[in-house]
Amino acid sequence: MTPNPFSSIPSIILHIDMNSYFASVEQQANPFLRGKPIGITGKHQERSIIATASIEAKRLGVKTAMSTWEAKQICPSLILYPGDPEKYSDITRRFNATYREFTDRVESFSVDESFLDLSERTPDYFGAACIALTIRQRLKEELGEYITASIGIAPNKLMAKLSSESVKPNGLTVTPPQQVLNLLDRSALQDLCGIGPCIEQRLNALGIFTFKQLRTFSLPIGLLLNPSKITASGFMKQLTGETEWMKISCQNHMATLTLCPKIRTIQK
Amino acid sequence: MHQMLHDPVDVIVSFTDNRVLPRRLRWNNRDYPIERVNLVHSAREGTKRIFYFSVSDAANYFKLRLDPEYLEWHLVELYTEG
Ligand SMILES: [Mg+2]
Repeated sequence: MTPNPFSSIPSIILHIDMNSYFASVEQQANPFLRGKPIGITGKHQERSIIATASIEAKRLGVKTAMSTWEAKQICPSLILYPGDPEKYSDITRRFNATYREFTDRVESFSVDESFLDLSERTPDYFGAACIALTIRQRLKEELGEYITASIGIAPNKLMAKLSSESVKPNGLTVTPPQQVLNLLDRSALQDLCGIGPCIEQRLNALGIFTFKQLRTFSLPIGLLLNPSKITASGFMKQLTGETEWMKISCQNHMATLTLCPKIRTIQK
Repeated sequence: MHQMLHDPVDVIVSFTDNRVLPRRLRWNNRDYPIERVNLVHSAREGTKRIFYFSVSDAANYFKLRLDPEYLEWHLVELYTEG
């Protein structure tokens, strides 16, 4: 049996991801949009794309970044609604301020996603889940009941994000260290933040189609350098983005992917 | 119907728990009682902070803009179902 690389990670990280963010904010502001398929667009609707589809629109097949024309074909009842970036950035500022009531270790990852490091706020995952429910209640008081979030709790950012994405909308998914490998084995490669179609293709070319295979696979640098014509560090940069999602340990000219990221704001 | 406007309006407000809440709106010689304040947000405009109130009655959604410096209210958005 492969050893669990997560069992020694003492951190407890929460990832909070607003559901259908721009659309939910508009539905909160304007109750006549609630329960309806809406698509948030740019200023010029006919030439625009769907920046966010409401939960109802997603259920009818509308996807983010679809052209408004295509979205209307798929869902004729779709209400196109112009976005209001000022409003969204004010709400983002406010939910991050709400998170800081619980810990000062908050990292805003995108306009609708943040990471909270709860390692020093609670000794265990039960405590973290209680904090998550309290945060959910505070968000409701602060922003209204229509702006909901999916929350994931795990030993690091990458796994917390994967957890929150596993139940949408309004999910709370707790993945303690002993459950991480289960979560990964249930996930597709592209579910992981940082693995897009290009990297998936490269992994596939190496015979890696699942996390189980990825975990036990040592990536010889030569293989990474050669057919894909990218450097190992370039590969890792794509995998890691700007944050240190994963650490690569190079031993005997073999780069082994180890899933043990750290939260950027708390690096010593 | 969704309209973007910039019409000066009269608003009656209440001050409750350190919060300003619009209660009644007068626009186009008509009175609209505000039933719900759904969302309040602010935005910077140069050096000042402008407040927006997203409110509704039984048939309309109104977005009201308050300039706290001049105490001026504008109706900037109207959405009526149908
Ligand atoms: Mg989101």
